[in-house]
Amino acid sequence: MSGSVGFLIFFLTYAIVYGILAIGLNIQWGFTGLVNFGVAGFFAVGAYVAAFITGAPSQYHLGGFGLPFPVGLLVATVVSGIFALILGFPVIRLREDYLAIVTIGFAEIVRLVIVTERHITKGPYGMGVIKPYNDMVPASFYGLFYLGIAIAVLLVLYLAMERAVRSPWGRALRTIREDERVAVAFGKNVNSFKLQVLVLGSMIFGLAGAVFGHFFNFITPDHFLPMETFLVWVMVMAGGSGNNLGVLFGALAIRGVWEGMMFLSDVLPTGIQIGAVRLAVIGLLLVLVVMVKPEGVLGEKKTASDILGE
Amino acid sequence: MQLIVNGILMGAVISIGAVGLTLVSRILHFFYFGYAAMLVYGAYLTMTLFNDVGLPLILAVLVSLPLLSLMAILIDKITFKHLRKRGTGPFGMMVVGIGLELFLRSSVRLLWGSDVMRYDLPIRRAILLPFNVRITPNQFVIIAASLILMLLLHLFLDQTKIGKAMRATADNIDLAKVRGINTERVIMWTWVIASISAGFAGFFLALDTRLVPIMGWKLLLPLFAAVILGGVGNPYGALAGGMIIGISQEVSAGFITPTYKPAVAFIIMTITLLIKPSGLFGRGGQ
Amino acid sequence: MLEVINLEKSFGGIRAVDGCTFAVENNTITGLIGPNGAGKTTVFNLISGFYSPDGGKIVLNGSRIDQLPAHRVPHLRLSRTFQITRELGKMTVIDNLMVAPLDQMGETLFNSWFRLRSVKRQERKIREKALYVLDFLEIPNLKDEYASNLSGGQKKLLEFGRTMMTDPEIILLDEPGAGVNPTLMKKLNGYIERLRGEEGVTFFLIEHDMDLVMKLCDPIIVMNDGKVLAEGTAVEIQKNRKVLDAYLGG
Repeated sequence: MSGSVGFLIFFLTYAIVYGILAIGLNIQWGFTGLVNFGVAGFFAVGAYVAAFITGAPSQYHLGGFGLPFPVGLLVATVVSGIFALILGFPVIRLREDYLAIVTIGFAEIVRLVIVTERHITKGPYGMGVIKPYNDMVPASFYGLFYLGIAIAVLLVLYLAMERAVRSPWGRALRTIREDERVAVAFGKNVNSFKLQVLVLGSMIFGLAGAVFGHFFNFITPDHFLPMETFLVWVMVMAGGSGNNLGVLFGALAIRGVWEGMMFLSDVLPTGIQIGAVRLAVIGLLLVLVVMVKPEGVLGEKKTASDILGE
Repeated sequence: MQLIVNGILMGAVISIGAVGLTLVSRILHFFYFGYAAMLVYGAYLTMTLFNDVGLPLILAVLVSLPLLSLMAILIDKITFKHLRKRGTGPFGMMVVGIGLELFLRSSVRLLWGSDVMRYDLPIRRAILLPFNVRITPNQFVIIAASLILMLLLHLFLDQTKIGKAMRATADNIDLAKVRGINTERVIMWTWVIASISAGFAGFFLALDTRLVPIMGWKLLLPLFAAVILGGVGNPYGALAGGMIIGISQEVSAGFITPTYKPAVAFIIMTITLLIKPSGLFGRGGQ
Repeated sequence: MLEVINLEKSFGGIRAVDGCTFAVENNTITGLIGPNGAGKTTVFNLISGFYSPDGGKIVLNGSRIDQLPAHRVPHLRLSRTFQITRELGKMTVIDNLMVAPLDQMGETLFNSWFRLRSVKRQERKIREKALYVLDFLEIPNLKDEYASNLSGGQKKLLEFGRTMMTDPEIILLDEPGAGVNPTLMKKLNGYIERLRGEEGVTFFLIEHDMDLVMKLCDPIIVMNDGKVLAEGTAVEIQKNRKVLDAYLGG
């Protein structure tokens, strides 16, 4: 396959990983107004857990249990959810700005653990991750094949989440976002809903991590810097909080900007680090989204629950 | 014993930084992540003024502070002032603050590069104190200077008119408005104090270790921990909180892997939030 | 129906509610009046569980509710409105109503995914009820409007309608008349009377508009400085010396 097609496949697969992350954050922030700045932490947990599950046995890191790819996805998702439950149970009732600091701290500590516990994760050297079904697909089509897997995962996730947020459950979430006191006054157990959403969203981040690891085939702590969290935040806020299609569009567009900036390196004077420029652009986008377009490019759908189709 | 001395040193850096952060958090009513970038700019501006321009070190620090204040006030004019007028909530402000932090931090990388740098100072040997405690002259200067700074901050907050207005605003914003305190003016002065506080903290940190663009971000978690532990908006609480966080972080290195130091700050902070969100001294918070 | 016994609540050393005792009888429209700062809204927030009392008891239909988490209180068929309307701005009027009913099975994620048929059945009933409420309040045309686009009076109506959605036995109204024009107020009075007459709902309301209270409420409870000052019919209250002093002196 030619280079540009190969790049397109790479780009799309990467964008889908972020699309999955964006859908997870949209459940939390977009629909419920729950702040989670620890996206990168759950993303990392999913990636590493999946790598342990599907990898070949190794004395240098945990596992290598050699289990099938779908088991890896499943366990990664569940374990991320368990992490979210343990973190969320005590802190879910905190005010949103405190929750922001606590979740960002959590993600940093996940990364610290990955860096430090080398016998489990191989630390900063990073871990190889298998290419699932490598032996069944011709090498030249493998990229396309894996893109197919990623699309399938995203599609199932998208449909499941659309149904969830278009139901009375989703309507209760929107109520919490608009006014917690009203939700309480009408008998909704706000902390329970928030905890459900924290866990569900974080499971999705874990799933994204598993898809990412098996796509990139190599993971290091540097893949899970706090910046990743804010990249997803930009996607959700710019794409339109509360609209799953909007945030997918946001993921695609922001990934486009991200990859596009690589071409800048031909134009920019030498010595300018593309990484720093990227970070600056993401920072600027965060500022601009809040200042210029707080509701995002695509707004949310008017009707909260439309399962009756009216 | 050495760990405790290290802790006091770290505590001094965190305390000095936390005073500014606690006032910003309370008076501007949001947690400003861009504070980390102020710290980094303070350290790097001082480096340029000292290494390249050739000012004496103390003068380099003192010249960097007005530059830092100017930058902070300018950023406030461009961003937060508009958001305040529009009634944007603390969360929107916080997101803008994070955006600024990412932007400013990478601007440091673009202006000065990502390499590790240090102040062009002769390397002096550590002094051996009783109990086998080692301390470098730089560290001695840091501890002594922070004590002086703390005293000056106290005098400013306690004796000057604007300092009193700031504390009143931090205590109760609505009441301060009713009493006719010009809050925009207080906010401007808050940025000045924050710049002094961040500038010195950044300088101390760089003097003790070295300069890297990420240094501010890494200190942010302990800083927030100190602010929350001391009660948001309480400068004296921030000083005490900073000391407690600094000492617990360093002493913990005697029992656990030293890389987990930030986790100690995180745990202290989270426990504070769960048990007493208004902090040890119960003034700020909710 | 609702009993408040020796209720106490302080904020930062200030006793907002200071040994308050009264009862709201079944199927009455009981008014709660008093000068600003008398502690009326605090009493409402205590009853609806938003604050937990420092002392005393709140008993609803024979069971204590003062230790319940706030989201359990509506399940005992007590519903409330807010002094400053709390509409869900970025949701439509009908969604504002449909979110109110308690124990919706579709509010469980599992049911929304795997038991869609039963969820739909319940949802249809809730929708019918919401449409009925909109008709009852004579605002069916506002069904799909964002709540943030409503006028102040319409928001008050919406809040009132939201309480109806939960089939309450008792409704707490916090200043239903504030910011409402006289025509709409008359209508609202009508709705309150009708709900009491036809469905046996008990009302307990805070109001500053004395004409309204005197016409609508019986009995009336007067609070001052966190305590109950007087209790009685409109005529008795109007003649009460202590009440006059509190209003004029306070």
